[in-house]
Amino acid sequence: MNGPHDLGGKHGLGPINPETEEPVFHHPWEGRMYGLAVAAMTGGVLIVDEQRHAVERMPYSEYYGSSYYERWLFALEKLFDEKGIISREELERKVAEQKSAECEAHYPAPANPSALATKVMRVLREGASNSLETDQAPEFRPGDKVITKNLHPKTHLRLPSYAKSKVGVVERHYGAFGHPGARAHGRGNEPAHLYSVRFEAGELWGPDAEDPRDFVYLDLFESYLKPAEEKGARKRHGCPPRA
Amino acid sequence: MGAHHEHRDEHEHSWAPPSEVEARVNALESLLVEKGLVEHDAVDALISAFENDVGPMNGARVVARAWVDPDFKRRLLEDATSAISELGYTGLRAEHLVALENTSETHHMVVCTLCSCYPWALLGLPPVWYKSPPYRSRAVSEPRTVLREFGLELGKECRIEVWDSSADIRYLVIPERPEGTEGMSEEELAGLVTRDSMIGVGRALSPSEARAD
Repeated sequence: MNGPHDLGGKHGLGPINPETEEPVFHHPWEGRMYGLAVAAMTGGVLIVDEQRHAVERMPYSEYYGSSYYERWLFALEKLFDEKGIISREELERKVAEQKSAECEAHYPAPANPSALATKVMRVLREGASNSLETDQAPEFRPGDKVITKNLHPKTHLRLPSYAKSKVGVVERHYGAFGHPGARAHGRGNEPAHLYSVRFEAGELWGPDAEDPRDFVYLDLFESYLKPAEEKGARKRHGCPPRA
Repeated sequence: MGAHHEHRDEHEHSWAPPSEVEARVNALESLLVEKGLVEHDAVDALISAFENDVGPMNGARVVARAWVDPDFKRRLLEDATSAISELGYTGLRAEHLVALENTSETHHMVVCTLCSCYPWALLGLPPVWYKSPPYRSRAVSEPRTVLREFGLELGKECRIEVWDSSADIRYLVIPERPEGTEGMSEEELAGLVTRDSMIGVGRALSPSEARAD
């Protein structure tokens, strides 16, 4: 969807202002928020693509006025309501009961971890890959010239606006992964070939590129791409009309 | 000391009334635990891991190894996922890793314009600026200006390659090894490798910068 998250190339968002000596979490609740989301994902209550798509549906004024973990909070509240896990009314009742913050700044690793804590630690160590096997051969190979499609679905899309209808070159084929458009909308894992595609800055930004020879690489799914030159186009033009 | 009754050590409970956001996070956690969907100690375990064990020092050790061991560097550039597993750094959000080597001719930098994808297992959780609209909007369209804001002036002879990590792959930049580090041990070299240099918005520290740190 063309939401507030699609930031590449936007102007007017200000200077970067890095902090020095930045803590991992700025407030205890940020750590709880982070841990809660990742634990819920590990437990299979939600998946990351759903969370991303929920953040994307945040109203613009809230998105730009929120911190990272405030956006996560918005997403989880929305998703749990949509999934029928925690209704808005149930949450508001519980919020009203909160008398004190009850949040510690730091937590020790659990001495006798629950099954979920054990699983969380294993996933943290071993990862949780979303790569999939497929019998479908990849349509593109490294070196192929491609053009990104002009897509504007209201659903989850991992093709940024700044790179739509742009010509690039396939740099690598990474194999197949679960398509985010399927995963974010409850359709499970549909294998889709993923490519690293290289774009020249001049192609993306025209005369306003800082240096047209710089490159931007994007990781794009096959369904976002088409061949830049229609294979056999010339031949088809030469075909006599059907009798 | 006695004047501020409400002030407690930060390791203890805070008895101030919760802010709106705190109350909401606490309520969400309580409800998920009541419903048997999450355990408090799973949340504790994640906080503890990122505050104590998982952070940019992991990536720094990978870079230092690449600086001292050409065979490891070759393996890292060919198949970073497999190479980091040799050092035990495989993990969440580094399941599919690509390493990018910065040289005097090519400078790589990493961004996620659509959310905040980042190699957690190698660099820990991303800094606020990495997750914020200014960096996410500008890194792809004006990387040279952005790098200048980080104190990095690159000439026209150096090509900038920006990696917008928009899917399942995570990226680690291998910064150039600083001059004057020939006699240093791998452990000492790891101390020169900053988080920012592995995102590609900084250089590794020189030995004198590291001493001043």
